[in-house]
Amino acid sequence: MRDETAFRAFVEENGATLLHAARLLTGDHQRGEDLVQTVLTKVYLKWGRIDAPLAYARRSLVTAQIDSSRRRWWGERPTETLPEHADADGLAPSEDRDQLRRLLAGLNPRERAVVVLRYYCDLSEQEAAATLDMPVGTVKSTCSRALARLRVELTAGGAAQ
Amino acid sequence: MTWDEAELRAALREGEGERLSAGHIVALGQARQQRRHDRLRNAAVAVVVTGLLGGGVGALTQLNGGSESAGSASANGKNPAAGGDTYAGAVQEPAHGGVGGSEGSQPLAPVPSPGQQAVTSSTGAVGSGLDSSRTRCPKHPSVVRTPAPNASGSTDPLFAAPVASVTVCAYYTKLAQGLVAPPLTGRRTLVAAGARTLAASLDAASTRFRADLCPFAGVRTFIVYATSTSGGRLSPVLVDASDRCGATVTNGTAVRYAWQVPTALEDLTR
Repeated sequence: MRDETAFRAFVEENGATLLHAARLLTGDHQRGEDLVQTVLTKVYLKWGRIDAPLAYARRSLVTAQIDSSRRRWWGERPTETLPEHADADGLAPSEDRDQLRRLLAGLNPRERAVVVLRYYCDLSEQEAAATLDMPVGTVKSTCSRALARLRVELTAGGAAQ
Repeated sequence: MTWDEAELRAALREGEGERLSAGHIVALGQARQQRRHDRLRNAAVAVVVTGLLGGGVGALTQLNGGSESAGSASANGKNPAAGGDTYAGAVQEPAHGGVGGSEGSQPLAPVPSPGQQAVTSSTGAVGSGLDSSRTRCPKHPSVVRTPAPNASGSTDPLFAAPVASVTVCAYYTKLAQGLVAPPLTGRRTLVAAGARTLAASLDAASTRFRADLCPFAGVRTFIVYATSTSGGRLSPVLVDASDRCGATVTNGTAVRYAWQVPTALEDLTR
């Protein structure tokens, strides 16, 4: 029998973090909501059969996002400007935050996943490697490459301004 | 503009805090689970219905095979009336390659029969081509009508070519209920002289219709599947021995009356 109370408590505790992570991963407000909704529904159906729900949810989140980015109809291409999207809290984003979000969206899905897991979810390299099912060394190199790209882009953006 | 990891963390955290509705997620999960159960149930129902339909069609095909045969005879200008319904495999080709009932080319013992040559045994080899010993008997004979005694072709030979081997499938039930299909009770294969003798005996039976009433002896039916000397399969011949006055024999076109069933064949129905 599924423990619905425990699941509700899990969503109350971790739902906001997972939702924000999903938005960072997708780079889109609505797609982030869709993604976290799909993943949490999956967690609900498997509730009681998974040992670490949060780790499972994170892993499902990044896997679903990386998989969806491989599909042709969701294929992502680097663009000069990001499409407009609604802001999460309805407030005007700060300039730096907006710029960082734009740059984050310009990373490839795997790089974006590493950055989000390491710097938003605060996972260690080992935990990020386990979540992404990749070697720790790959996580290190991917993260290093992603940060370098962000720095270069941000510097170039700052210089342009 | 430069930044460090702490600034990156802070930047990533901006805008977080929007809460999710657990109730909404639970409702979605329950709906998805319900859809999954519905799909499983529908699949199970589809499997059961398909199985039932398949079985029903098979049973109907088996029961109606003879009716189609009667219709075919009628279309060829034969009058199917007069003889009544009979269980027969007269125009139903059996499957081959399997066996049913007693096996092999075991010969029949010679049986004297009044006015007819007895069925004799032989172990002679069958020529090339199809071998009746590989004939598989249907579980039940089909239902056909015996042609009218004076119908066109009713006195024609029962076997269209010289017979090399025959397989006799025997069916019997003591029940006297309408269309009760008697079950298979035995099988016997004859080759060479034994097959020729049985075929000749069947063909030599009277072509005159008899109208006398005879005691019912149970639904006793034989189907004779014959193979010609050239290896071809001949039309199956039905023997209806349901009364004690002699059997009616037909291939759907030709018909014979008052054939005395040899004891060795009768034994297959006990």
